[in-house]
Amino acid sequence: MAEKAQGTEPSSQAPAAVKTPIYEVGFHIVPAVGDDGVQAVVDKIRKVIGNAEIIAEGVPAKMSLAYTIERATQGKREKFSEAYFGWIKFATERENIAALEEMLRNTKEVLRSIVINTVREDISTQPRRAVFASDRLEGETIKAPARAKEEGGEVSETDLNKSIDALTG
Amino acid sequence: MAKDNYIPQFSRIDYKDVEMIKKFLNPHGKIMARRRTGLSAANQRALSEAVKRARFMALVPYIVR
Repeated sequence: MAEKAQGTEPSSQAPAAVKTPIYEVGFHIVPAVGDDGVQAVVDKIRKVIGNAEIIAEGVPAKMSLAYTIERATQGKREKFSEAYFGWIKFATERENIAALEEMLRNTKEVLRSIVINTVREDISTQPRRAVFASDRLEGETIKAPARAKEEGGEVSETDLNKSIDALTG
Repeated sequence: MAKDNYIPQFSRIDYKDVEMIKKFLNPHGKIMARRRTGLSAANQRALSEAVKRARFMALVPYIVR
């Protein structure tokens, strides 16, 4: 909603105020490239990303996959149960993403990839502190409001009838 | 879900955070119900998306027999 409100303002603001979208590419590299070949594939991906701002990067590390990925290349079926998994978080314009996805699809060393729209901050799941609407009540026990003490004792029949009549109108 | 694993809020969940995601999957690899995870609707949606991304990237299985 806030974004919409900003959009209605006159566009005399500098274009620097427009935030560049943040993307993250995650990829599996086939184990056949070996430890030495992995960096070459990463460099290829970084080249396509171009001069975009690299925010964070996960160095590809060999991992066993949760299930076997099958891939048909040149009439041959290949099975992969492990791969090098790496990721790069970067800021770029939306138009550049199609080229990156195309490159990832056509690179045979890249077994599988995903490009997601994300945020600049590290989104490792840090539990958040409970948020209070006001600091006023934080750390205090809410007390019940004080009530007037009721008085006991005998009540005559006529007084009782009067009170009932007053209540029922 | 055990209380020590219970996380009341997270702003987002990362698909790469496999250890965290696995806490919200049952032994068959299915996403736990909201009443079991105790998450808010928005966080449950975020979890669901993260799990699906992690499954696609073979970080967690689609199904465990």
